[in-house]
Amino acid sequence: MIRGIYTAVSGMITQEAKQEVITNNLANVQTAGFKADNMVVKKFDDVLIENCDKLENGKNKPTIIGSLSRGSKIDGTYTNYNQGDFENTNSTTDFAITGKGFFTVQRTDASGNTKNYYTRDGHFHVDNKGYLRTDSGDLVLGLNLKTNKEEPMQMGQSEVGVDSNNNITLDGTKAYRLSVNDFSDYGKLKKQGNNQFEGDNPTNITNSKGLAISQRVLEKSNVDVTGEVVSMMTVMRSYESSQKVIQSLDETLEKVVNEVGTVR
Amino acid sequence: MLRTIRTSVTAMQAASSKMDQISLNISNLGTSGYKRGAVEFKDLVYETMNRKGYPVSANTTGANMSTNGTGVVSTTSIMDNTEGELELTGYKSDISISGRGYIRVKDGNNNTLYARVGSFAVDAKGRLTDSNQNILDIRFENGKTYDNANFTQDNYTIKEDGQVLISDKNGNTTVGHLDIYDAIGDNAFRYLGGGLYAPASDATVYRTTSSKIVQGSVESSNVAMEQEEADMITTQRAFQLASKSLQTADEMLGMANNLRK
Repeated sequence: MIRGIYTAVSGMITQEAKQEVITNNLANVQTAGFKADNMVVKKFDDVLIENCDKLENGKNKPTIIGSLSRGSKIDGTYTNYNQGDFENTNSTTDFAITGKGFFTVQRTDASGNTKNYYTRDGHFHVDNKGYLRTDSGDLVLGLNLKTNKEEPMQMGQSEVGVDSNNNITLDGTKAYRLSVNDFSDYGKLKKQGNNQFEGDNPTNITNSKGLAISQRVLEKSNVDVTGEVVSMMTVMRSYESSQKVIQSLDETLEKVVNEVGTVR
Repeated sequence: MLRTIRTSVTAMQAASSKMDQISLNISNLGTSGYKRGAVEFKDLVYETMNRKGYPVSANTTGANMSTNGTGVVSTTSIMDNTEGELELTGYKSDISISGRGYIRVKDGNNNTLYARVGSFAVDAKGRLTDSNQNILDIRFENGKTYDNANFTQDNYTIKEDGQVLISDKNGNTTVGHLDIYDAIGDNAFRYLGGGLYAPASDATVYRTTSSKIVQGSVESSNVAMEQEEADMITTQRAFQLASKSLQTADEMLGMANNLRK
């Protein structure tokens, strides 16, 4: 009886956590380059239950009744890396990658160390020193076609363009290539906020043939609004059922305590 | 559950600051020289679900670890520097720029401000001033100043390269140049209102010759109504979704509250 309450409560807590993930997806429905998360629920390992009510030769004999689940738990959050819709924009510094890969951006922390992060959000702008930056102020890395080095992209005042070989042209002259990295295991990528991912062992695919970078285009969030709203409803009702289970367990307990146990 | 409420609130705040920007853009649809601003979004930090009271699998550090995001925030507005359409007015007093850059004016306290477009009338002292008494900054030559150049309503011409000519009975005299200034960076100039801009503290303003002065025309704002309307619809729906999540969270909290009758 009491165990039932804990089982139902574990259900309520996991549904609550699932609702957090869904809410975050819905909150980021307009975030460029956002990838939706899905929380997966798993049941706790079953336990075997048995009783010793049966008497054989004056001794209690254990009888196996069956297995019992002790409720549900959070198994993990899986990110859906499907491509989001593309939206045309007016800006020459908006880019999007068709297919796999992430733009590489560089962040400098307070102590001057730089670290690379990866993003699908190609909403960039030119800062007052002429460097291409993300909305969070991180430098966008590119392959300098003259020196063949990866470095922050200096756009200056030039007219930015992209040719069919993914070269960034400044006033019509090939100058850079946006540095693009991919990962063999997306499961190991960690979301960092700021539309960025953190990951180890990137594979540089800047010069890969299959890569296609479009200009004046932004990749929108890949959140499926209808699906998320439906899950939101399901989660709420499932939470409600667990709550009802607890309530009826409580009522039964009340009967046990107040009626069965009454001495008249 | 309180996390869900806070996440929904961040989403509503972000959507309303985007809405602020959209309404600013739409209300300046008819403002000459106005440049639209664009607000985008970014997600907030992710936190682990491996916290007290949460039943989580042993997998809490490796691949697909259990994390949840904490919402969304709007980014600072980035100015869209695309040029608006140039509308011919035929009035000599209307000055605009084809290409990048700004013309310079001086306000009453002799501060330098910048503008994309302006209608300048000749005031009592013979100076070219806009409706807010800001004086057009001309680089005078040959010892000329506003005091001795003798501007009248219709005796001056400004050429494409900025050359300012005054015609009188002796023919045309060059009195100076109207220079165009520009700075690197999309957000190098800050909009002050009244059609005026000021450079950001770290912007390097320089003189440019690659743009042209167009006398007798006005640059319309570069706001595209259709785009703003579409943005407005999606933003409103995003706000609505966030308020629905908030409502759901509230209902769920109510259920938790009702566990004990």
